Amino acid sequence: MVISKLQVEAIQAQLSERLEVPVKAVLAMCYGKPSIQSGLQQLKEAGAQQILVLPLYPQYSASTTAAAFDAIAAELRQWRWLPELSFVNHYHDDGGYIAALAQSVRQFWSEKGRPDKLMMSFHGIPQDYFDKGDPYFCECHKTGRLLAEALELTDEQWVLTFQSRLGPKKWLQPYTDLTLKSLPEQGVKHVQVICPGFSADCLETLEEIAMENRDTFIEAGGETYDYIPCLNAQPDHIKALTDIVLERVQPWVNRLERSGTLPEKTQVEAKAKGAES
Amino acid sequence: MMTTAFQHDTVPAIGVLVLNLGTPDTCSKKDVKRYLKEFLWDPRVVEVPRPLWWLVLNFVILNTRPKRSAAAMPKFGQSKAPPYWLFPSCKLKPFKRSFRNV
Repeated sequence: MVISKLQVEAIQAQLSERLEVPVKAVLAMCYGKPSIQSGLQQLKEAGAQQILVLPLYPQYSASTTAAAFDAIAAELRQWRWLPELSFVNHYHDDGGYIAALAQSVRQFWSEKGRPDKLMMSFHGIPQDYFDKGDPYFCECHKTGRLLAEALELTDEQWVLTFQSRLGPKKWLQPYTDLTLKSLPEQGVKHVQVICPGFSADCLETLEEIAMENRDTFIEAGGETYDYIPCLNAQPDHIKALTDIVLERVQPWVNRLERSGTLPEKTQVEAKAKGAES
Repeated sequence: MMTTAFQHDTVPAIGVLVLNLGTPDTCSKKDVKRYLKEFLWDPRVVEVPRPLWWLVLNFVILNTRPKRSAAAMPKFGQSKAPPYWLFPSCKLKPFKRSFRNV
């Protein structure tokens, strides 16, 4: 939560610096607090008649991105005067995001050295979500391929896996834990794991990936297991996110700059027709 | 009931709503339970027929998971927002290791 707040504060600072028009960035959580309702209310109080929604889920999935959209829609059903809306579905192949990931890996290499294999581990979803048309699997693979290209890795130097399966159903494969178990016998003694799908470190990355999976790998005969932290509030991550925002809001900015604030004429006409304020 | 509209004389601004998954308010069992219920009842998250899922969620998961999860939370403090932290096949066992590389 603290990481998310830092991210939003940093995005706000960059937006204020780079935009001439008033801009307000707020944080909301899809579950728990601060709620989406309070986030939207805050934006309304700030006079935001154009709202860009940026879910920090780089790869689209119905279980995350679409759930966020549902929550926005549920709140806006209560509003009489809707804002203009734009919604970032995904940024899995965004150049700035990929570059920030690549930079974080290179930075890590400069401190810890290069591994035998770089493992890109994404959160899994049940296989049948994919079979029904969820693009998540494909978007994870595109992120993986672009990151591998940016790092100039050969096919043998990286692997893409899915973590955190739960229950009896089949989830996206290959599974992170089983892959880690099998790597040492293939001669991979040093592995580094990165979770490109997480914009901030959390219990799952810290507990499951950084700790439990280390045990799995070491017990299977591995020697060195490193976890590469998420992008969190690193400056190039913030810049990438800010660039995504700026690209999307540019038409609104242009329009606001052309019109200044709401033209007085509009207000006069509205009041003449009976508006109270 | 519709909420208050924008005022006609509002200076227009651009709003950015940054979203992430969320975290329970506190580590208490009650808050963890409330959070899990909200998260896991979302039909986008768990695509299991509702009557069946209602039973599993209310009689099994919410009676076992919050206690274990709440016990795990203080290890990380409130600062680590835990997206999907229920979903990991996590055993949420007591943590013996420090974060050597985190």
